[in-house]
Amino acid sequence: MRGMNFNEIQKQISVLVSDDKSSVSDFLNIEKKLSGIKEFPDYIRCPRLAFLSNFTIQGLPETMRARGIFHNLLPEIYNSPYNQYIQEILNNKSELYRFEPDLVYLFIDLETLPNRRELTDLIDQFLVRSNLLAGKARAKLVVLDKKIKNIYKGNKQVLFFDFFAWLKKSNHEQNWYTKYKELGDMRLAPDAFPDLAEQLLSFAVAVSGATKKCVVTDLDNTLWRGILGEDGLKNIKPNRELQNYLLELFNKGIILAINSKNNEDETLEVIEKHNDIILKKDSFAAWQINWEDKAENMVSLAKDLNIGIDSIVFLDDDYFQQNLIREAFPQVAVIPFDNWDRGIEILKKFAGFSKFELTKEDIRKGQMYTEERKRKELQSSLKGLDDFLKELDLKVTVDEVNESTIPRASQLTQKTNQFNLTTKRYSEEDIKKFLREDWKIWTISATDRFGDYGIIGLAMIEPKADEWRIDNLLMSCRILGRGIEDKAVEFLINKCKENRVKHITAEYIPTSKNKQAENFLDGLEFKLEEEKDNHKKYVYEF
Amino acid sequence: MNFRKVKLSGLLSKVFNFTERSINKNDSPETIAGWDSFKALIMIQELEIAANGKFEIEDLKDIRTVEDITRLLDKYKIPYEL
Repeated sequence: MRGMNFNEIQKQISVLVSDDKSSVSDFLNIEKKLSGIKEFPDYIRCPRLAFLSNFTIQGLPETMRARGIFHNLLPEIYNSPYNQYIQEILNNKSELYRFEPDLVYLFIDLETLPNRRELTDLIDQFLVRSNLLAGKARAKLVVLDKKIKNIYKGNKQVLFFDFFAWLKKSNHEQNWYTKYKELGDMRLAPDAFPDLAEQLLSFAVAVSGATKKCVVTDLDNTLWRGILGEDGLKNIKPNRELQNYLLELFNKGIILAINSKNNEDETLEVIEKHNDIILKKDSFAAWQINWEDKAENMVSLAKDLNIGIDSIVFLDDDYFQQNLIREAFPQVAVIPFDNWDRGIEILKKFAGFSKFELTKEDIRKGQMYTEERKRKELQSSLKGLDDFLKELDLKVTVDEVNESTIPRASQLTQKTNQFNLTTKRYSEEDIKKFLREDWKIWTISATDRFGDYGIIGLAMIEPKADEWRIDNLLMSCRILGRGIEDKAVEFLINKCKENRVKHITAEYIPTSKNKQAENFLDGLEFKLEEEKDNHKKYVYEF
Repeated sequence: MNFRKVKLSGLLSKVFNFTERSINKNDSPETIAGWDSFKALIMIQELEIAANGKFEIEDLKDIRTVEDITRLLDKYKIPYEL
């Protein structure tokens, strides 16, 4: 029964988000229902969002809390009392700091501030106090004014949302300074709340790590107008706008996949041959083109791609299929394409693809998954692993970490669970600190005949007198079983020899997810020195 | 302007989030839970959406009861039912 009521609400929100007639009241009513629910599914994340403003924004935080469910978020909200933002920031004991927010949205209408300096002073005061008082990770501040962006260039704690550009772009200029300002100092009319909530949720998605990884699309009447099996190749009309946008997402690292009721061979041939179909086989990392249940196909796709179902966005024109997926997997973001214009509008405004920082590997992710599909196709056509590895023509390089690769190195420590000897999570600042302390930190990259894997591993060493301590060695799980991890250790041993190191120490710290690395060092002439509760300590003597 | 007919009881039940209750002209913040200054603004927004029209601010300042709402709708010649 766990999460069942919540799932009902999540389905309602999914329908509401795609309904162009939904209003703030609908979201407020859903938000009210949430207060009675105590248990939520495991995939739900609860970022803590605080709101400071110098005008009435009541209704917006509540709309964000309800709408966040579409992104598998259930934000905890603190909305500061009307026009109390200065006291909240300057008082160390204010509710704001007590709330320990992950994100603080600062809604300051500059019309009523004498100058921007006052705003930057406040931001500076917030940063000092927040960093001093933070009981956990430092809160990020979202400022709705882009003109001071340059002052905070390089400061990852201060984020900007160009509110006025958004008003213009999303046709909400007529909702700024309306009669609601005079009626209740509501300077933005509530008509704009659902759209603004979606845009502001992009920060909450990024701070919670709830970013979607994959778009699974239907084909007939979604990627093209017409039914392939009935209308044939010549009579289907590709949806150019959707294809262009999916290509744009693919180039930002989003994985593309197909879930369609059709004959696979015939369909793939059409995708390859039709002149107006821009997305070819090479754009898709996986597909389920068959006459099976689309919910079961979704499971196969997630398994095939090794991603969580909660990281999928699903596009389909068919109301029945939309509801089938909503019913089976409320955590999938379903975007209806029965009305193409509305579908593309929702997809383009969708906050779920948001990330604070894109590494080179993130950008290539869609491409990498496509390359991985080709590797699997090759592997299944060959007899054994040795033949496969030979055919792959794998090349491994090891480089010292540098300014441009620190973000990826930190990301690997944060995200890698399976082949991770110690699962120590490090921020970019941590890594910079280790480098100042003369640690040796190497990134491991690989390429093969199908493409570039990018940086897929990391070795972190703390040198002591005549000993090197392996603080961590980790490898992205999608690359395992191709001998790269062995080559990494071989490299380390050679480096030790060059530096006349007498012995290497290492350890394996067990977690619920890193069993894959449990016996790795045993097979590489490392001697087990100590073992307690499966926490193993090793030494390698030269 | 092409106004649409407003169904007041449905609209108010949506804004104030109640189901088992009928509406009469004497209803006001005293009889409907949750009718505060914020919800009053949301109610105006919902009225405008439902009627497919916009009200002048001067006509909105004295709305205290359901009867005031019906007077507003009458003034703009917007058809309605309770």
